[in-house]
Amino acid sequence: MSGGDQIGARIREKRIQLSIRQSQLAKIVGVSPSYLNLIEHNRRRIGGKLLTDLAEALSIDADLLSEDRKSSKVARLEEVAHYHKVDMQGESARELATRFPGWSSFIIDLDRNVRSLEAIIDALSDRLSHDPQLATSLHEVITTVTAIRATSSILSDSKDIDPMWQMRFQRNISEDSLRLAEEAQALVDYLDTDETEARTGTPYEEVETFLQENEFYFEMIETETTDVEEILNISSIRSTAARVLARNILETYQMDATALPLSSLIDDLPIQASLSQLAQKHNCKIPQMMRRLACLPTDIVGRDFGMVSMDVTGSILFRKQIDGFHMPRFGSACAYWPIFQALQMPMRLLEDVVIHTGREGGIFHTYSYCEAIQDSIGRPPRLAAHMLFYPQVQEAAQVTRVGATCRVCAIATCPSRREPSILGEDL
Amino acid sequence: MAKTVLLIEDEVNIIEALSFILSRDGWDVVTHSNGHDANEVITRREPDLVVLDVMLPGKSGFDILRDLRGDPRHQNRPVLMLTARGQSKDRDMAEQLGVSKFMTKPFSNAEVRDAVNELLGG
Repeated sequence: MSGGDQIGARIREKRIQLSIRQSQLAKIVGVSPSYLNLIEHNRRRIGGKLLTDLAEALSIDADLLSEDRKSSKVARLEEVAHYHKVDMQGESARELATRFPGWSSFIIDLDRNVRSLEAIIDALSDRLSHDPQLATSLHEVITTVTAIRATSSILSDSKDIDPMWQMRFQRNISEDSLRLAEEAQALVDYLDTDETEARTGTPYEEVETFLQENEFYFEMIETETTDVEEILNISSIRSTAARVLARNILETYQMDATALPLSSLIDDLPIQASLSQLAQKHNCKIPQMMRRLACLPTDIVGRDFGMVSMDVTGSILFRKQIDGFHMPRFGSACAYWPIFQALQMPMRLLEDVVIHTGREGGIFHTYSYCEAIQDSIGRPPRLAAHMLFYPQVQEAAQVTRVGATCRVCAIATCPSRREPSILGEDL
Repeated sequence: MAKTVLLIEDEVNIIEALSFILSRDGWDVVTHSNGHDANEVITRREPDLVVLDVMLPGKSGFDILRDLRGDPRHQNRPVLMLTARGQSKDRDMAEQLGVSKFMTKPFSNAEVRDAVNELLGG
């Protein structure tokens, strides 16, 4: 039974607000007017059905009448005030919820929308902070807009401008308008680019573009002794940093192709055996077999393999994305990816089935493995984790739901959520 | 004698527009379009006001301002900073470096004229 010294007062206030006589309300809920009078003056405690009936008669939530400080609307209002740093007393929130339930609901909905928009802005700001191409493009747009605004203001505000200047400014506006249109189109094209298509920009993005252009397969390395510099010289890579990264990847590719030439693997392709069986048969390390399978053409290996490699900080070192398994370009990945479990259990091959909940997601079979690399004596081994994955058609008895990254994941109840999602109004 | 405004901006059409309106207001406007020798130009010209863009080729407006305030000859020289980067951290940095006034693009001509008038005591 709910009690307290405020329920009666609230009932009375609400009744008066609705211009309902005491006798009328008493009749509606089936009590005597005198009893209702005692209730309204807090001399009788009420709860249960009577409280519910009174709330219904007064068109108000029963919890607003109760003195439970955890009643949802009061608690939400208090939380809203705290979030927006408004100096409200708890009593005021309760009074607001009781006296103005409609406004209270509106404030709560407004707060939810504000926070959702803030999260979207944060996500976009984060994108601007990490995407130099986007930041540069937007800067150019703003600069051109500034020039157009300044020039057009002169023309519109000046009554006696010299004709030569007038012509000059009109020409400037014309040029800037054309440039703005081109910049805007370039920005739209950039933002419209398929997410699986990497763009030049950061060195990692340059390398990703280069790898995707070659579909992660380098026939020159497979079929002949090739200096990787020759491949880099004819590639689309321009920056020095990207060249360093790409060289490392190609040298690793070369090492893998030398240890596991296609001719030695061909009898096992299309792949039927498990990863561990293959690695054992060919006497190679599991990460090396993972890389080989990921980089061989799908029509040869028989599966569309994706792969991700990361260091102990979770930084992605290598990324081969496939349809349905979206991986973040910026920020941290989903904590439930099996690769993170592998990081905790070095030198042990993990096999899992996951459902990727992202856009066009699906079911994937994953192999995860963390190797400990001893770079030099006296230093702890460096951990490098790898996850190889491919689409699996049949469902498994046990699956893990994963996303790409918290920011764009719709799993509302995930206990590992690090930040609100820009998806899902309930968050 | 008219006070001098040194406009350091690499966008040609912005230079033309601002030069036009500030000249019309009676200021003597000189322009410079890159950052790497901007401090030398400021020292040579000794303008009454520097209108400084942030994103410049060769050297950023922030670095120019930092070097300016590090030079005793320019510690009190008025600087109006213009930038398309309107985040509060950019404003904070400009203020820490000693900017006199900070304005984000796109700005109105009236805003610029008012700011210049205020900084030059016009």
